[in-house]
Amino acid sequence: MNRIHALQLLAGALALWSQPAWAEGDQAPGFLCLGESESLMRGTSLDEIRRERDYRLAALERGKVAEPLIAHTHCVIAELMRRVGDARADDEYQAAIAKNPREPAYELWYGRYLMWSRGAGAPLSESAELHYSLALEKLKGYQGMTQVGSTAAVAREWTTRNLLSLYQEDGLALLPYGAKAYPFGRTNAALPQLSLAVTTNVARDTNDLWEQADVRRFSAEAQVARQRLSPDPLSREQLRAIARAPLRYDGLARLRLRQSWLGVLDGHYRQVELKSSQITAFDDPTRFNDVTVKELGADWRRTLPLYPAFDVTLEAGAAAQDRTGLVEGDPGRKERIYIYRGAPTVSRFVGPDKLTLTGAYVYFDIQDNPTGALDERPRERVLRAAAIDYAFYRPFVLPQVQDGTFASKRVYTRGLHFFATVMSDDERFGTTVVRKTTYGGGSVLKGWQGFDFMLMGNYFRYATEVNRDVQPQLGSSQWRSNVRIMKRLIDEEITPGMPPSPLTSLELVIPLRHDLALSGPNDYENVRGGLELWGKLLAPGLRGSTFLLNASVEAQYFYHLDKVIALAQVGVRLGWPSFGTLPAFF
Amino acid sequence: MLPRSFLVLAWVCPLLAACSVSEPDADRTLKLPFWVSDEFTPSGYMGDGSQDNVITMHVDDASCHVRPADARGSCFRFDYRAPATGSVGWGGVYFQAPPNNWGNLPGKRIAPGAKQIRLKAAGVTGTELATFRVGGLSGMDDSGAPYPNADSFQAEQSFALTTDLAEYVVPLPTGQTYDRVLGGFAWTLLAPADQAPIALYLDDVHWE
Repeated sequence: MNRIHALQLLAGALALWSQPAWAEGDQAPGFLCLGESESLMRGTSLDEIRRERDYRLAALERGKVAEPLIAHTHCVIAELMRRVGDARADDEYQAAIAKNPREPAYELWYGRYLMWSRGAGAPLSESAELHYSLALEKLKGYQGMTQVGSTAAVAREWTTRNLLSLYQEDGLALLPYGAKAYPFGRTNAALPQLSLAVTTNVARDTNDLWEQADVRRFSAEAQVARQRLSPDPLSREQLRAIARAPLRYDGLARLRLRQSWLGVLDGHYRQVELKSSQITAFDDPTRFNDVTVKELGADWRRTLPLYPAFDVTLEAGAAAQDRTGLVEGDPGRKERIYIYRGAPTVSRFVGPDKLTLTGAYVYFDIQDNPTGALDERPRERVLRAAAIDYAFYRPFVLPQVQDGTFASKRVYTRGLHFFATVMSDDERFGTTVVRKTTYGGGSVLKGWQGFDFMLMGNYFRYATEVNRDVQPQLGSSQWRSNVRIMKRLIDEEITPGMPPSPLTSLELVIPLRHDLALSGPNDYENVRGGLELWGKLLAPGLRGSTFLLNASVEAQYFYHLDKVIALAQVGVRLGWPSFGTLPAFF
Repeated sequence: MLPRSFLVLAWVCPLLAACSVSEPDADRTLKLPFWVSDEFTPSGYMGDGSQDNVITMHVDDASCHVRPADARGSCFRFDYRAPATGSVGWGGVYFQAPPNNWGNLPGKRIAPGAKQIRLKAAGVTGTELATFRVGGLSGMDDSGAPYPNADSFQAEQSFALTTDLAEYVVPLPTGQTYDRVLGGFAWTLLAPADQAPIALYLDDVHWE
């Protein structure tokens, strides 16, 4: 029995023990719902859960449920529906709340459902916070509120913990009153909060801001240099120099306005410095110059529950970016780029599972070159992406090691995901159009024995067209195999209340990958592996701010060039970017 | 593409090819007259110019010679300082289409009937010996094989420049067609014997 279930059962038992019988007309305590539903779902199949749901629905319909248990029964049905992906859970939570409007726990369970089960790629934050706030409001003056271990105190603690998780990416709350900031003294969900996020990251990496596929980038650079130096061939030293890991400093400051009907509105400033990152001129691919990127932008995100159809998350943003060091032959030249981006995500239950579709469109309005032939001046870039994710949340019979025994058991995981992605990144340089296409697919099993396992493959393609003619000598394709194994050393989701230590989460990741050339140069085939450590620190004294820390060390071996590059990364984030559906390389 | 239409595009564009970047017009035919700097890029550094920092280009800035009122296209100043060692005795720049194209890509289609190239030029010392060339561009790949594209014609004339901007004309071959021109114009300067710095002013270079 894992700890979260034990706590939930304990809470249920507490509810029964502290109030073993309730007077006629009184309602069953809200924690009883959680205890009963958890015990009904433990080790049972989906069909059995559905039968329990239908049995209770029928009992309610026939009026066979005693008055004190009607709200409780609606809540149990809602919890069972949550597990089997029945979107009518909404109605059942609301019925439980309507029947027993004084019970804070029903608001808490409903908030948890909206936060953890619903939503498209992101929690239904605006809906969830409303019910958490109502839970806190109803807890005010609740008997036993100050009594340690009372159900009211537990409900308060769990609600607080969920709100902390809901707002953890926001950073430090700035407005003096307590709305949306620990300890959540003001419970009006409509009140806005302004938060400050600050992130810093220092990395030495072969991936850069714009191209995560280093193998594709190095191959393309070598091809351009080879063409430029023709008829001379590229030397081995030149090829080795192209495989590089520049030092990168990345800092971001963001102000976020969060309001329940608005969603989140962000304004940010980001500055990135890359040392000796860009090939200055391709006729000498061993000389590099620094790159500086400064970005001022605004983003908006709103989640919308549109069931019975689906949940939606809408994201849109715009930014002005100044880049210096990216124009070949003119490393001091500054380019001004306006970036417009949008990403809709929809999600719905398919039985107990969940299907999520994401699209993304990013338009880069780049200053045309001021000089040169007229048809060589236009500059433009468009990035389009789509992703599909199917997450199995049904229980699986999996081998389990527990208390020194090994046996196969039916267990719930945090999802077995199968996903596929496609992304096209087209950039025009006058008569030349460079097209980068990436296909990806894979699977992640989350939450089995404290591990996540990910297997993923990527197909990278690079093509160059000049006046619409494909240039075979400036094209390549690669295959990347990825394995990621993650062990949760400290699992924040195990503790439903306030964590016992400020270090709420600690994860160790082993990333391994191999890049194989399919066409074009094979010089940059490589293997890469290492260790990553991710941790979260909760600072209740800093109004509940959460810090995300990461550190990694990796080694990358380009075996055809016999070159090993040591890679490292350290990051500290107070709050973090939420534009998560797009790659972070703008 | 306007930002105001962006919100609509953002939701419908992720999978539509029509929402990609605008495409260059590959089938365009240049009509006469046209100005070389509007259609060809000074990217083909030759002779001593293939070495770093031997030839430096200034475009449309204060370095230009005083421009005639009717001059069109871009004005240029090319500074040429022959290297102390390893000089081949000359340097120059091809105006290419597309940029850096030595024959691996097709060039530009120009309407028939062109008779000559007309330009204005001067030297900074008045001792510069310049050759102006049209066409004649070809190259080979790293295996030594010729590239699939090359100019099918060549015309050139040599001049002793003065410090005053003067007009020069290079006649084109009669009856010539210009289906795919790689090198729309080129200049070369002879390196002075003492390797002193020299410079070339160019303006109003056009086909007619």
